[in-house]
Amino acid sequence: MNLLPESLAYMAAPMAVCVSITALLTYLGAHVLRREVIFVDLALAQIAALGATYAFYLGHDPMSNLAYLYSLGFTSIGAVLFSITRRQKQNVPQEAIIGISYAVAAGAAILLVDLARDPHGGEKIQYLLVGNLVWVSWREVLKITAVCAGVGLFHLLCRRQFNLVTFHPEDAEAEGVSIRLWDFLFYLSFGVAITSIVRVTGVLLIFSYLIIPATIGTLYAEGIRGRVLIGWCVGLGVSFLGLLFSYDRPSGPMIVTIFGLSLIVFGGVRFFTRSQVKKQAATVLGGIAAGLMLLLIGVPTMTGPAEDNHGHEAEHGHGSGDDHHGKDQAVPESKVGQAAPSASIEKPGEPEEFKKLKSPDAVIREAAVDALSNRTDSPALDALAAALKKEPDDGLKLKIALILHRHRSNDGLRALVSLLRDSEVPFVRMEAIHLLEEIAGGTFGYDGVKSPSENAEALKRWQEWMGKVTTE
Amino acid sequence: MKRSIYLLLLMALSCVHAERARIRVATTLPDLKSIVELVGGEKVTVEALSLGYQDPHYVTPKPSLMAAVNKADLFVEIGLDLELWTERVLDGARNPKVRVGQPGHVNASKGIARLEVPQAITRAAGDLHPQGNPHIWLDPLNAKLMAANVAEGLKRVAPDHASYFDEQLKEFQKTIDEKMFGKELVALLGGQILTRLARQGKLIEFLEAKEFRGKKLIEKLGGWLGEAQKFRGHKIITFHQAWVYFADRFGLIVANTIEEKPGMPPSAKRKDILIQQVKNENIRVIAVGTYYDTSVPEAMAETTGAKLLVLPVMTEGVNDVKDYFGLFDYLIGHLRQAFDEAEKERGSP
Repeated sequence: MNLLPESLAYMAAPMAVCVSITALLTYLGAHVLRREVIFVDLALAQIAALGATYAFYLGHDPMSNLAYLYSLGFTSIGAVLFSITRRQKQNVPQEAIIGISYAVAAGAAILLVDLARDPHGGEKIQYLLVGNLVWVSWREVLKITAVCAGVGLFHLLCRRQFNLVTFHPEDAEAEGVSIRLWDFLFYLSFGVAITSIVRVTGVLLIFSYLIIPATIGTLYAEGIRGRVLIGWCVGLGVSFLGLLFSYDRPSGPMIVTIFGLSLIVFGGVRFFTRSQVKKQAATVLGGIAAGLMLLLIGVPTMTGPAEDNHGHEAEHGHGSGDDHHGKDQAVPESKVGQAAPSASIEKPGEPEEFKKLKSPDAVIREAAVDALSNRTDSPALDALAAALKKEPDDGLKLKIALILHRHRSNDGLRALVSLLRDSEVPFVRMEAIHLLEEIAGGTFGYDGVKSPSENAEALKRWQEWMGKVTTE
Repeated sequence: MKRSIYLLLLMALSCVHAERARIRVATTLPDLKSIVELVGGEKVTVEALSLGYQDPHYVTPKPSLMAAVNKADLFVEIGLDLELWTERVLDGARNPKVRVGQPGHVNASKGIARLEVPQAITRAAGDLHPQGNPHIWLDPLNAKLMAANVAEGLKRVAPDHASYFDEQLKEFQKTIDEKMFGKELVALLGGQILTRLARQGKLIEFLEAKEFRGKKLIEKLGGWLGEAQKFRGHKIITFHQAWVYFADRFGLIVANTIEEKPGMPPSAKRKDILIQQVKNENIRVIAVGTYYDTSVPEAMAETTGAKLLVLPVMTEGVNDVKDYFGLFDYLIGHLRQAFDEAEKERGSP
């Protein structure tokens, strides 16, 4: 499997995003973990999406700057909500409020999309939550970096207050720091970062960047500084590996999966080093490792057919772009598509071509006529003569008449002359008179553009000529 | 005085009666609705279950859809596994008349030659259509057969109006021919011959070779195909494999699609391939259906300088497209404009 790309150029912009968000989100994640509001980012991201959806409902583009402002507005409402629901000694835990906000925001967004009858955007909002890291533009990289730096700077300047309200809320009031105000500022700055980042990375990635590096940091360090430093290293390493392996695979899911694996590895190492009974720990870890090996053996069998499929598509599906690509495919398939109607009138024992002469599809009939055009045996000519009588397409009639004329002069001539009179298609009448002119040596005053009544005189002469030719 | 009141009452009653006597038709797509309205004329009332800017593959089967099908005399769908949701709607509708195989059910794709019928079916390809690409309505010549299937269905449920539907069908097919090839050429060659040649891919060659009264026939080609001559042979990139029939008919070449597997964001590898291809083959236009997210195509257009066109795939996909004919007026007009502009830009860099 060549999972590795030939050039790493594609990684530059996505990696820049990863660096920015690792720097900020690992730090915020340490706070979120301590506050035990694990899903707050999901709720805030969904509330931001609801804001964009509302803008869309009002008739704005969900990707516009105005929609972004709506997202921020909604996010700040969410920030207010989360700051006033913390630590009120009540029976409802804050996780419940967060979960409810998430569900209601998601439901309302779907409803708003349904209400807004506008051709653009329903799906855009869906993509808003999925994101697409690999396709990030440098303009977006700049924007995200600026936002991350701004929020980071704010937290750096006010680190005393933020640390107090998160880690030692009981001391905060004594030191004159308002929990409610600083909670609000925490969620607001958090929301601003999430709203900006989610458009590029999607919800899945944001959650992973927020929680997993911080969790690994918590496993190995006590203070926030140590936790964040470890989280940064893990986050950057995983981002690099994830992007490296996602050249030909969806980047978001790849990074999340590698994050998960890294957590297993770091968790396992910690379990082993802190365990009193090393032997027991080794058995447990060995079991887990064996399970993982089984999974890894499973992976190639899963990716095998997908690789095949890529090759297949490159060759056939969206083709090399040659002119005949459509037609080449059209021919065999038209047979498939048309088989059913012609099958209903077939008689057993008839050769394939004869059956096709009766197809309702003119393209198939013409192919059959072409196939029979060089046959001189009387069954073939009889079939053609029978087909001529029923043929609704005057162009094909002309063609069959010519073939018959080559082999059985009179049937063909009769058909040509009747086309002069009966065809409603001027071009066919012109073609017929050209052919007859060559055979008879004149037009007898017939004009293909004129109506049959205007040609009455000439038609009579042609009938007389036919009479003479056929009796000879 | 009294008499006139009775007369009025009678008229009102007959109006009500006429309204009730109308055949109720439910269609899956707005394009089918437009075709049924054009063929059914004053005898039908039609409701489409999906909207023109919705992805026809995915429609939420709401109770209102089932209610609409419950009251229908005729149900029309494309088939070919395009509308994956009709089965649930038909099940929920409790209307035995319009079940699959019943006289009130029409598969509009019956008898239409399909493109991209897979040789072997594997689950790996994601959104796979085992019966071929289902976006058949994007070729107006297919619509003539779809209309014939609709007329068949209407005659089955309302045999009294058979001659009316035949007449209407003829009119529809003639209109398609004239809009497709231009009135002059249809008068000269007839729709039948032109359609056959177009389907064989021999039309342009034929018109260039043949003359009528000293003038080449190609000069008489009008209508949509005449306008499409301006961009015949040009390459485009599309998002979904929705444009094969359109491209095949109007001589566009779909060089590649952005989407690799439906619903999956294109990978970095695909991004590199696409951008290289757009540059190498000098592709000027990227076309995306209205119901797709445009962020990836926008990014592509930005890096390559190609033009991004957001096009309706269906009738009512944008406000300007009111009926089936309007769809092609819009598509051909916008494509032509985009290629014209690209041409000019290249002329004066």
